[in-house]
Amino acid sequence: MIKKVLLVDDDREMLLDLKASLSRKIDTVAVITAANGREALACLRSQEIALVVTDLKMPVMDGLELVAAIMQRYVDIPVIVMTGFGTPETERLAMQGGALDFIAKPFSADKLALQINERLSQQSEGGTLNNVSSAMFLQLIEMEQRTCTVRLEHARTGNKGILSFDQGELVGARIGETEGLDAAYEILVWDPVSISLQNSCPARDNRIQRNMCQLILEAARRRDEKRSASPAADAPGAPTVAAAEQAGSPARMQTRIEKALGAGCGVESVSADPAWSDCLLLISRYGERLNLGKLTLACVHRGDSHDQFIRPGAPPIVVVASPKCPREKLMQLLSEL
Amino acid sequence: MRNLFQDLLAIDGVKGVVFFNLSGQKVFEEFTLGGSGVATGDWFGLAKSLGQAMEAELVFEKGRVYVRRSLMGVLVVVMGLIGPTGMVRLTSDIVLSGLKEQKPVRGLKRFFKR
Repeated sequence: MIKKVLLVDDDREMLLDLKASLSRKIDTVAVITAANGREALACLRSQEIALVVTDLKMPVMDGLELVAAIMQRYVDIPVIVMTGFGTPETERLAMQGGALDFIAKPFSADKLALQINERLSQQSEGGTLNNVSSAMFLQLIEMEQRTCTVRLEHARTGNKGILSFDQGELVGARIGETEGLDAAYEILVWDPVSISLQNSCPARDNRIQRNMCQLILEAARRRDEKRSASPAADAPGAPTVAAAEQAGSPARMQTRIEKALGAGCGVESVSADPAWSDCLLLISRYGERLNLGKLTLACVHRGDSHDQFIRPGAPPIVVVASPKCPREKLMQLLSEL
Repeated sequence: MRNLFQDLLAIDGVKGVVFFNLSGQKVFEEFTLGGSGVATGDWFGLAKSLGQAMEAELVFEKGRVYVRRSLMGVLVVVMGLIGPTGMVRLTSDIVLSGLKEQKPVRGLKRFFKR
């Protein structure tokens, strides 16, 4: 599974170099970039990020503010702080704020890749399981009184969710921007799911305060209610309510691509990436000056094992595909969507 | 130089080929009759705007552009809207592998005819 790493720095050149190096060195990650904390938060809102690497000194919203915002809303996302002003004091502030690692500039891309790999492999240190029922597995965690973070991916929709357990008690749940009980109810009816287990849980307030049995029953009741209100809503193959609400969203686009090209078509991820906006605008301007009109689609290969197909928009949609993906067909499809 | 890029220019749908060396100097440029409308412009600027990309295919409202970066420079192929990109990519592989850097000759060898 491709995981998304968000790099945040106002030094655009360094950001692009680092992105290219990391994409080459770690083939299981898709690197997304943002120029400041505010852009980074927009990325976090629009897509499922597995790890954030941020600079400290940035305009608009600095790294410490960003770390604080992440700890507030996305406490399960690990943060690595990088800075050219690496004093023990800044390191202490960053770690106190919730960052897990600190890397002082200048550093080699190898060193950062190693830290990213280490942090990402921790997210599945307890093992991974495919095609299991979330309710059944989560009841086992409660019975064993485990402290862990469970990352789940719904096999049918590709939606991702995160549950945090403290000694068997569910203390947090999140699907993108949805948090707490609402997220827990949605996750608990996902079936089947792929699960990866991290043997630790970030310290957090208990935002759930229900036992697993109560939660599963209530989740099932809500699902049944939803089904009776709209019989087609949860039928296999039908888009989820959230997906239906977001017409043209990355998740919806991924569903349409997989429907047209098949599930094993080589498309690794579809996401919104505002970091492409400036670059696409520039290319589009060149196109107009060269009498070619506006840019409608770009396919970019950066020397790693994946191609990126980018559709301009606000924000641009990026489709990451492996070489086995039928390139021409995908481009045709993206032009039509 | 023209011979080198002839295969690319001969592909149906290709309107023009431009090749720049790494410092951005235009080494070769030729447009077919159909490409005269887009012949002049900052093609290197367009290629540069792609940042670190090794290869890119850009689809615009009125045409496609294939950009390929190599150790010798940057190749830009301008196509019509229904561009034969697969064939262009393949031919570019062959053409670019035919481009070899002329190494400065040192010592006595530089006085002899090569």
